[in-house]
Amino acid sequence: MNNRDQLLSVKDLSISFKLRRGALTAVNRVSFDLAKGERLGLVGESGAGKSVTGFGILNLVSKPGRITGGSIHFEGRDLTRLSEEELRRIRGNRISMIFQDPMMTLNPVLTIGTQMEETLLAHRNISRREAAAIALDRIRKVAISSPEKRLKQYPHEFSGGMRQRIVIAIALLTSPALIIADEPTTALDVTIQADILELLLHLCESEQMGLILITHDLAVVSQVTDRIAVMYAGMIMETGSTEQIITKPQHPYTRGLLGALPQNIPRGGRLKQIPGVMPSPSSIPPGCPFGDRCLSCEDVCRREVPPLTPKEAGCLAACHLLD
Amino acid sequence: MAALVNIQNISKHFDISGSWLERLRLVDGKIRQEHTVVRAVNNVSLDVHEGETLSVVGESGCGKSTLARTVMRLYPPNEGRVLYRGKRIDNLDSNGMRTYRAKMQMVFQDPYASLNPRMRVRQILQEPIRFLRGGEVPKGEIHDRVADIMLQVGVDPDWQDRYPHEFSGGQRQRISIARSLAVDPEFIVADEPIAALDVSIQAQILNLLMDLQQKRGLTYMFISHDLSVVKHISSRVAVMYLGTVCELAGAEAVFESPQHPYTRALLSAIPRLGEQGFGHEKLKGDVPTPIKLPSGCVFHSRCRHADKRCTEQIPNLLPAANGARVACHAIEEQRI
Repeated sequence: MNNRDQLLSVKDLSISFKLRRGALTAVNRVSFDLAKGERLGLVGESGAGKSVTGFGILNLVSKPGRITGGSIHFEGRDLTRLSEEELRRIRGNRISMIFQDPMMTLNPVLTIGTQMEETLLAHRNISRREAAAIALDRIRKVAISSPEKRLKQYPHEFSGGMRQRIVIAIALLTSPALIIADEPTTALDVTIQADILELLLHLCESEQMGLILITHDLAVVSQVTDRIAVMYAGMIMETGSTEQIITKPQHPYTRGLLGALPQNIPRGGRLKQIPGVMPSPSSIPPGCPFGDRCLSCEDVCRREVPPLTPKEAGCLAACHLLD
Repeated sequence: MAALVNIQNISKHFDISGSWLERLRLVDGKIRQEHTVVRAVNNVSLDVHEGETLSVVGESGCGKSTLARTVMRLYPPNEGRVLYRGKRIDNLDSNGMRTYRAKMQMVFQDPYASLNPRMRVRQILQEPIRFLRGGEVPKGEIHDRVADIMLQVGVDPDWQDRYPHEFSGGQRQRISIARSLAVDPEFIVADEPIAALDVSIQAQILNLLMDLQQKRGLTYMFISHDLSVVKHISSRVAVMYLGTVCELAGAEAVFESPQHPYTRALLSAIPRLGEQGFGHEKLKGDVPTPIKLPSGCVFHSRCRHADKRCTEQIPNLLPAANGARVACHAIEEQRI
């Protein structure tokens, strides 16, 4: 697949944290592509490195973390090679990010309208009045009723679900090409979650925006995305179409994850559990990081890190045993 | 099946008015005192049958955790009674409750907040035995009991001298479960016991809970917002909204044919593995606050089928189809 056809092309991205006791690798040679308007789910349990990857794309990983290798091609440029000044023109402009907690984005002492205008004025050479008009349009797009009145209100006057809608409206202000959403609905109730996800899906389709949805929830991802990348201990274990990953998972870890879901087991039956625990970045074993917990682990798995390569089922997987 | 626990017309309110000064408000030019009360649980009646798993589900703010704590007598109810094997326990003092504390135990959601960080695991597990069953269990045996219980929950007994912070979230939850089992209880209330854990660990803990129930004949009251988990392990399900039970039915009945409009919306909103797109039932408006409860049926402001009676009269839990009990005027009147 040609780099230049893709909206985003991440190749061998590595992110490490330099601590006194040594360097910890949180993201280990991660590669994936995203086409224009495509929706990718980055799935994994906590500690897998998916949020760090998301932050890493915008070079937002705070010290002592830093990108130690790889490239991130976006709209013809390698983001890892850009200056902070150039990156600032992309963040919130060409690539927007949505976080789990809306209060990470919203300033509690400014009205919604002021915050939205500020964001626009930072990236566009337009008048305040024009900015206000765009803000109103975006608030309407996220289905918030009485938008004119709402723009004059403060974040604390909204519920959690409404705040997340506002955050999405802010992310849309500059008509970005890509939205990175890090667990956007994890803190919300199920009924609100369904509304927000549907909104996000609808907007991505109508505005032709790419989406990277970072989450641990496979069911959520299966409703919203076209493709899924499964992460474990800093590495991508499997990448494929959503349909293939959910119905015909190849990698033992993916299969374990799906087997652990109550939805896949008859009522009252024992859930398939994966023994053990995901290693932390400081205790990743040699070879395949999943080796210790894998029921099919062989000698080669303990010696060599499996590369992410195409497999027969049409996906990419990092597993010696699938060759 | 006999009822192990009877919950009768329980209401629990929290007065958050604050101090005298904080209660003062300027209304129409006059200074008035205003009380702010969170009506967390309102007139809830439930029975928990021996040997079953009754799950209480609902979204945040519905009162399920408050109900659980009131049943466990961690909060005294404002109204109503709680009976254990037919005897009232809601009006007992701490001495009177002591015998019951060995029979009723609780497992909490946050594995990082529910274990004393300054106690070794050994001490955490010995303490309830000493305190609640001290008369029955000879000192020499306590040590063996602790080792045995740790084995049963899958934590290496050699680690009993460690502190909670040295364990992972899943292991700490196992220790919490061990602590509740140490006194040989009959009834365990589990308040979102796996919500804070990763999916693959959730499966381990759920399997553990199901195995223990089988081995020991335990009765569970399981509080959760995760409907797919609830579907998997429950015998019966109570659905709560804003402090009231709107539907109570067998697990299969609730999930195959939900009746109350809120239950239907809730179930349709669960993300389904492998189903692209959304077809969920949308609810109008926002969740009202438990401080200013809507009149009549608490759900009326968000319900498509609400009529005048719904805004005035609180519906009772009445028998409906499939052995379910539903609190809904429209269903009683057969409008839906």
